[in-house]
Amino acid sequence: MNSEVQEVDKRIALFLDKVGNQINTEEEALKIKDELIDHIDCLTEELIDMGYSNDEAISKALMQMGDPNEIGYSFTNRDVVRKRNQLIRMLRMLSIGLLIIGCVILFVFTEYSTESLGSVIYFFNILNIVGFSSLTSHTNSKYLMNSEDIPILIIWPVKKHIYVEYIIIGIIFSPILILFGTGLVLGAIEDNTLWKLILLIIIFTSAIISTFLINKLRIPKYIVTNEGLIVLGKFISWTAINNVRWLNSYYKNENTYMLQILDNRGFPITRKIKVSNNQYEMVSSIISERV
Amino acid sequence: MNKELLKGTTDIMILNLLKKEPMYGYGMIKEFAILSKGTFKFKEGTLYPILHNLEKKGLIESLWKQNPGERKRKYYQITKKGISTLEERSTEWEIFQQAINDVLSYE
Repeated sequence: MNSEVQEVDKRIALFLDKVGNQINTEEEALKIKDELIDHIDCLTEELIDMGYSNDEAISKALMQMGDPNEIGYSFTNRDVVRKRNQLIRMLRMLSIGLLIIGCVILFVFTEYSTESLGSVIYFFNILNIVGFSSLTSHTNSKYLMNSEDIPILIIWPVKKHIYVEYIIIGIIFSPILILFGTGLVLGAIEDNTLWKLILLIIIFTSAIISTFLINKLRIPKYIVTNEGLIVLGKFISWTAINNVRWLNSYYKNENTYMLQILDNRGFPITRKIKVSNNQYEMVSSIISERV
Repeated sequence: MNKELLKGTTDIMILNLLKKEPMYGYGMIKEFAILSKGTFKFKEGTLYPILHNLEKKGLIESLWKQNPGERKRKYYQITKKGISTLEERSTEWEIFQQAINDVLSYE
């Protein structure tokens, strides 16, 4: 699929990216991409047969397809967002619960050794890398479910990258974990308590898997409606916004934009809103029409 | 054609189209244009969210297939649940259409 996208015209790839950005999960977006590519190809071929050049045909085909943000957003089912919200909450509780149980068992088994403390920090570090920072903005989903005001645009979280600092901490704690793990395995074999070890592995693996699953379930970070902006569940009317400031930033090897919303006195109303490169133009034109 | 007028009727039109034979998105758009003599022209990409929604409701199902001389495509076909929904909605539509005609013909 990815190689296919690379072969298509840049304009088509951008169109598909925009559609994909508004769709709930990346898996769903991938499934839909194949179908849309086929449709755009059919349209382009038809237009070429009608006498258009390849370049003109692609532009016209994309026009006929419609607004990619609207198409993408139309796939968002409010029931799905509600279920996703519940699922995230359940997975979060499961993940934290398993982690606490795992840590308690580990401490009890190892009679509160310092190595076990190191390992616990290591596991928390893994969870930090894979998911904890994605556990925000569910209040926006609540707004999306309760309000009749159909959003113009949903700004999804900018794709998360693995933070260098976490990797460094991970590397520092790795020898402790390896030593501790080896000791635990040898001890378990000696004492004939392998079942305890297996139980611990199952608990920690389940905690990590649940956190990974949370990370895969995307929920809207910011919502743009006809009436205003919803930032972390807080509604900001267009009339309350006096000015905006765009800051270009180089975030984790990816060009992103930071939007700062200012009130009448020029003070920021919210924290800076991170907008990915491919949503920048759309957000910028919506705001310039209203502010 | 006013977008608002199309709302709520696209589902029934798609189901009716698929009653005859399985079709793919682009084919459906072309068929709509021919059958409505060009009246139903909408942004073509907006068809797919509707198709996926109908599939989630179990009214249609999809399969990827490749006909000779063609590329691989996703075809949609109506399900039994879809056929019974179509019958119900068609009856509702006829009643609605008759009522609108009666009101509009009042002078």
